[in-house]
Amino acid sequence: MSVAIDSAPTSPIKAGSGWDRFRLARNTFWTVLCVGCSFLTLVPLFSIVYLVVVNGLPLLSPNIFAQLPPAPGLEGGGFGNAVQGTVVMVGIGILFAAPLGILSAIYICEYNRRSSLAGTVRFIAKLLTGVPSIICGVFAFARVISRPLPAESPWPYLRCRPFCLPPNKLFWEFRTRFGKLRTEWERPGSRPFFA
Amino acid sequence: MPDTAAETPTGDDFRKRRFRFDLFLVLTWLASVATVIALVWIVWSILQAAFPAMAATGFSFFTNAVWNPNRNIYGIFPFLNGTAGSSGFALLLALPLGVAIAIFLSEDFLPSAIRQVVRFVVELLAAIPSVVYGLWGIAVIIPMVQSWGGFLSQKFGFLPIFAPPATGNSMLTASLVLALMVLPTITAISRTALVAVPKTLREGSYAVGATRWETIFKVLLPTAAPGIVAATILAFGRAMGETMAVAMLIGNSPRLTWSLLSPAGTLAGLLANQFGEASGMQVSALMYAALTLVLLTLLVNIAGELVLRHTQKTIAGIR
Repeated sequence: MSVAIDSAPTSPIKAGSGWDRFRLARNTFWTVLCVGCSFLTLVPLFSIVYLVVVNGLPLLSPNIFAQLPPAPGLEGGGFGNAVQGTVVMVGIGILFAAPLGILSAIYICEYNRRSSLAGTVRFIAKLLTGVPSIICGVFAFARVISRPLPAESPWPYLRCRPFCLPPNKLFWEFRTRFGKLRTEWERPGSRPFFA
Repeated sequence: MPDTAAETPTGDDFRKRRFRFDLFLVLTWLASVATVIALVWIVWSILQAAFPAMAATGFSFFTNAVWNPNRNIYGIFPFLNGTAGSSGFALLLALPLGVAIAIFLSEDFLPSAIRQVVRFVVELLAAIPSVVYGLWGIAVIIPMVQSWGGFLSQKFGFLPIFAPPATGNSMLTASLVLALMVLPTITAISRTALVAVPKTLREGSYAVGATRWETIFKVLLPTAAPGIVAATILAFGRAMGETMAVAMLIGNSPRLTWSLLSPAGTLAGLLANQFGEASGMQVSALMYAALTLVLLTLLVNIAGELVLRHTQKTIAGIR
């Protein structure tokens, strides 16, 4: 019969020789240091909470969540716009993300648990949580806000220029270059397909 | 023979059982593929936007120490240095603390209730928004660093890392706050690794007369070492990509410096500060910097995940 030992023996050594006493003292030293360090980390958290509460609590009122920021020099007001913006933005984000996330979770747990796609999705999802938020911002900037295709295209360097086009233009690019139908979409004097 | 023939699925069964059209399966499959495409699309879009700058600067982008949009000179060496320096120093601070907490949580020094409270509090640290850490850093850490940093630069100013211009916004400030921010990551993964060490190893060590800490240092930590290494790598990835708190605290200086006490800059901070007003080639150069950052974080995270997988296999082998 075996008995699982959950904790260290309370007195592992009969403290006899000096060496054994040293070992016990060393044991106690590390215990104190470890527990001390653990409680040390509670200090910053309480410091953060203290800072926020002491500076924020006196100003807390229902108005803060309802009113707009005051004009410079005026008292009162709030940040209702920011609250609303946060809620709406996060809500829309979840509306997009939740179905996708839940569906792919169902796929990797229910359908093809062992398939290579399930493994890949699991791995990629972990990587995505590690992608810095600023990168997502930059991505949105590149995709949504700006159309940064420069006048001097970088693509001749890779000799596969059309693939930097959005799909609809890519379609016409192929169609005008390869299709029988040549329409007014084809620019006169456009560059050859392989630069 | 007739029996076997009866059990073999006919063409009809085959069609019914195997190739029944399952709309839900298609939907879940599409969602899974979308997850993969999302990451590829992010990297691809940034790569595409970064091309003009890549063509213009090439590899000197990484080695050039001057970032001057007015003169169209773009080099990110100081920011690479700042990113690596602040993250590295943050890890140096957070690793011993994180492992100490992980040991505290996985041993029974104190009753389980108290350990649960500590665990909860450390996990709360991960839930605080980055910008609140930044505010806290400005209100609490910057004054501290100003007074201690002044002292350090007076006494030890001859050392390059304590070189004199001691400002509050510095690499040290950012590192201190970053250390706190990555602490939950290190603690959680290290604790999982320590808890996963088979009990038999611990019992064997006690049986030959080791004290608790001899067991921890000579048996538990070496066995859990790959997990702790994975925790460190993943925490490094987090620290590298951290934007808001660092941008508020590090001073965002494009100058190259060895000093912990003077302002520096990180890649994420550079992006956060300059994207608003950038135009033309600067946007492309920023995209190039973003590409560097995303590839570095992906590399670090992939390495961390692989080490973590290796750990799980090793532990399974011992048990």
